Amino acid sequence: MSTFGFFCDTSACSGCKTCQVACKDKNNLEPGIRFRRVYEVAGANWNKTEEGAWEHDIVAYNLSIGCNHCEDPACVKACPTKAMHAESDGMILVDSKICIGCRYCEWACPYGSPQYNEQKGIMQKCDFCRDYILEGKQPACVASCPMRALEFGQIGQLIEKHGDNRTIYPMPDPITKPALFIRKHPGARFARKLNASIINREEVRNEK
Amino acid sequence: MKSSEWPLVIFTLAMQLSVGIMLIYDLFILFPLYRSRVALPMKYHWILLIALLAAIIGVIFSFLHLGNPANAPRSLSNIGTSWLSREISGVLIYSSLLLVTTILHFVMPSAGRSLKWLIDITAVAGIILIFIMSRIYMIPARPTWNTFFTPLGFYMAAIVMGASLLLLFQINQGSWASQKSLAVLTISIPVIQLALLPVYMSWLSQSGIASGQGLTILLQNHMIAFYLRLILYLLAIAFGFWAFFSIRSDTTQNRLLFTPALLAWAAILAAQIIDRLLFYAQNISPDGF
Repeated sequence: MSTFGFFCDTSACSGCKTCQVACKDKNNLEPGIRFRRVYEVAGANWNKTEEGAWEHDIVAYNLSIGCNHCEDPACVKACPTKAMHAESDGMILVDSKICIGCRYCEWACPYGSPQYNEQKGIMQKCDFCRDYILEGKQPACVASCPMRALEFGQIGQLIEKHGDNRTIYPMPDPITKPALFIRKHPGARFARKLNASIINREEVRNEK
Repeated sequence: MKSSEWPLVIFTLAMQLSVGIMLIYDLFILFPLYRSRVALPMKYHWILLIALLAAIIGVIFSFLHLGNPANAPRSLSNIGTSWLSREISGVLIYSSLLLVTTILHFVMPSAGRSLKWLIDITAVAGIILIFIMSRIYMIPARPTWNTFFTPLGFYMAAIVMGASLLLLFQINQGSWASQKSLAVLTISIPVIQLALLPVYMSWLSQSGIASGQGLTILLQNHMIAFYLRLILYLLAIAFGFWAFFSIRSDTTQNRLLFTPALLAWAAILAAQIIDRLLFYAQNISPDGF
């Protein structure tokens, strides 16, 4: 079971993507590979009022996701070599020395977290900036967030502080028990009704 | 579709062709001959060699899919939970059985009849392998694949590719009943595939955002491939009927069957390649994640 987790305050996230850039910088990632991705969710509609006028509804918010280090990780179950594995502290890591680059973990993960490095022929992913944590520092994404929308910590403490909500529209059902806790943007309750969707798919998906 | 998935298209089709050949050979050619106690014609041994060749091609292309094939021997490490690990085990077991069967048939041609049990086991291993192959794709994170249409499609591909290819082998020496049976399979599977298409599309349209995107990919992004597949199914059915009505009771003189059987097999193979390309094109994560 995962010990650590992330918290994302979608009501505070401005979508500046500093977390994404800090992660790429810290991990020296190739173009196209994003351990952390900022999803832009937006939707809108026009409604006719009783007086016959037209008014618009609109919803827009951002969701920053790295690896959720799930308690029931689909990637670990799928990996044929056990390169993708759970450490004793619950962190989900990939052992690049035994990864075969089959990309099955990429298919199995509902959050698109494992990223394929075409040059190396292996999978890579967020490791909570393990080296930073061992030094007593925060992960690069959390430390860089100018809005303080991201937090990292012990799961119990995060739940106590922010509650145990692990999803927001349009995230998939949390069947893998992600260690990601979310404060919902106020507009999220209208998102389904407004057919909101991720509007920066081309940006966040690693199509290589 | 990602270029990295071409090896998977060839791997899955080659393995399914191999299994289809073994299954159809066992049920529709060997079984009637076995019951009638007629000697096995030597040319049927070549059927095993073609099935083995298809399996070898499949195995080679499965390596091309890997980013780091040097670690491939480790891929059997997680049989407990990984369907991919199970698939690789299944491919090894099936291919090994097929290799042994083929070698024994060529080394001891007169013992062909007594080795039917080995072909039975190989065919059963193939049926299990196709089930495992389909389970790889039936994961919640890929909603367009996570449906019974996936195993159904894989089994139908195996049967129709095997039946249409073996119809070619039946031209001179096959029994009338075998020829008719294989021609019926060559016609009926594309008919079922055509009939299931609107059912599948209806399911896609009603199964959430990601599956709806699957429909968009079919009808907009790959429209030409989608309609080309329909045309090829219709051609396969037409050539299948032509073959069916070309079968004569004196099957030893039956050369009329060659052209329609060849055309039907070519149309079916092309349709299955496009079908599999469209399958991988629908590799969509839930809600864009």
